[in-house]
Amino acid sequence: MHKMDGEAPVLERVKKLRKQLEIAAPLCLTDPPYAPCSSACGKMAAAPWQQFSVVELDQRLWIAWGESGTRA
Amino acid sequence: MSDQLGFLPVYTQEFIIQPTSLCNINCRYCYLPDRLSPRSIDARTLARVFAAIFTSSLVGERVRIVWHAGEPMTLPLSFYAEAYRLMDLANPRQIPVESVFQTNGTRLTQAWCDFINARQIQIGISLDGPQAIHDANRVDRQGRGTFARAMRGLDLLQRNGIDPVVLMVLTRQALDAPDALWQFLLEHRLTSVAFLLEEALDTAHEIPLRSAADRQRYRAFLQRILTLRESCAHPPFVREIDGLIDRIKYLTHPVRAQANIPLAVISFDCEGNISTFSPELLTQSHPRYQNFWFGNVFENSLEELLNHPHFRVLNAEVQRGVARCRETCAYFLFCGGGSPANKLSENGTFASSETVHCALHIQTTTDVVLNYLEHSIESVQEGP
Repeated sequence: MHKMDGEAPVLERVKKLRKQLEIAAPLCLTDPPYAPCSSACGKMAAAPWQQFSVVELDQRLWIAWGESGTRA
Repeated sequence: MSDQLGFLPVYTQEFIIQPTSLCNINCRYCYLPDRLSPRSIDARTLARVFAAIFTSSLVGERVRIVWHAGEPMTLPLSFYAEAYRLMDLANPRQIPVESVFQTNGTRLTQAWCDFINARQIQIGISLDGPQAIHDANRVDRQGRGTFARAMRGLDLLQRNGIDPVVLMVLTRQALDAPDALWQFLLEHRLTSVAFLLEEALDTAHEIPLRSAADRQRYRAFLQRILTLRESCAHPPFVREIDGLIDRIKYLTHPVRAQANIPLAVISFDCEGNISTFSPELLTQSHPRYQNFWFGNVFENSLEELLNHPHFRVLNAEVQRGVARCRETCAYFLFCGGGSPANKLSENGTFASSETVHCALHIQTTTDVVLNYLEHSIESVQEGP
């Protein structure tokens, strides 16, 4: 995670959130907002690095130019 | 190829081709200057564009080409049949190509859908929501609403198994109607939406949505969309929300913004002029910079853009702006330094940081989504 001098509150919140999300696992990807999976859908969340291909992970590092609107 | 910021390698994420600047409709919020001009790219120029792309070291494992204008479908289907033939000829290594049309949907026909399916083209369609909201701004040259025509296009796409991404411009009127917009998405079985806040990327128009009340309005809009999304078994993917949740949860590096990294997006106009950074710059002129062209396909390779004197001056300014964002903005992690076109339009210089666009699109969205995730986790931990 990128670190700024005198870490900003928003970064602290993200760090805390990530810690809490690990506690709240397992998570169900089909059931927003990321509640613990209570259904029998079988789609338990994999570890983050297992969910995405290298290409997908790379895409997630980009803020896409807004107009084409076809990608997250 | 290393980027100008010196951290991660970069390849061109999108090649944007503006085959014509003409648009068949006349949206009230449109700031594109040449949308009445019927100029279009000729086959010779297009062949040079494709040659420049497919011989470039900037190409990664795949090439993403976005047809953007104006309205790209003002050109006949026969133009694109020839264009894709030229593209195939220029691509002997058969690098996989993803292509996208960003369209207003009003010119779609069955023949277009057949072509889209044959070429596996992705479609972004501009729809602003229910008729009253859509027709308030998306009008033709006679001032008539285009909702019915756009919806006929959407219906054709869906009957042909084509699932478009919706590009929705949010005006004040739309921000006050999140329930109507959400209902519209569900009723029409739309699976993916990207919100664009109304903006004016030129020097002639006042920036819309710039007041504190607008920021509060956008905050309330997003909060309501999050609530509506929770009540939905299969909610549409909302780029601003779902994309950010992904980033909050999984990113291990700061994000990079396509719009401010040299060559991450490369744009071509119908004369073969080449630009980079925010694609809106391609068609803009400016009292200080004149234009934002850094080469032409008849004279330059894409890599040569980096040595173009105009580019070097401009890039230095853009990177000073990004550095200022990195030093001063707590949201840099989720933004990567902002959009040069917005900085120029709002602050008069690329070497600047915060814009109204940042305050809304990045900062407010991040605040709302972080709050939402924090509360969601608290309620999970507290139990029923």
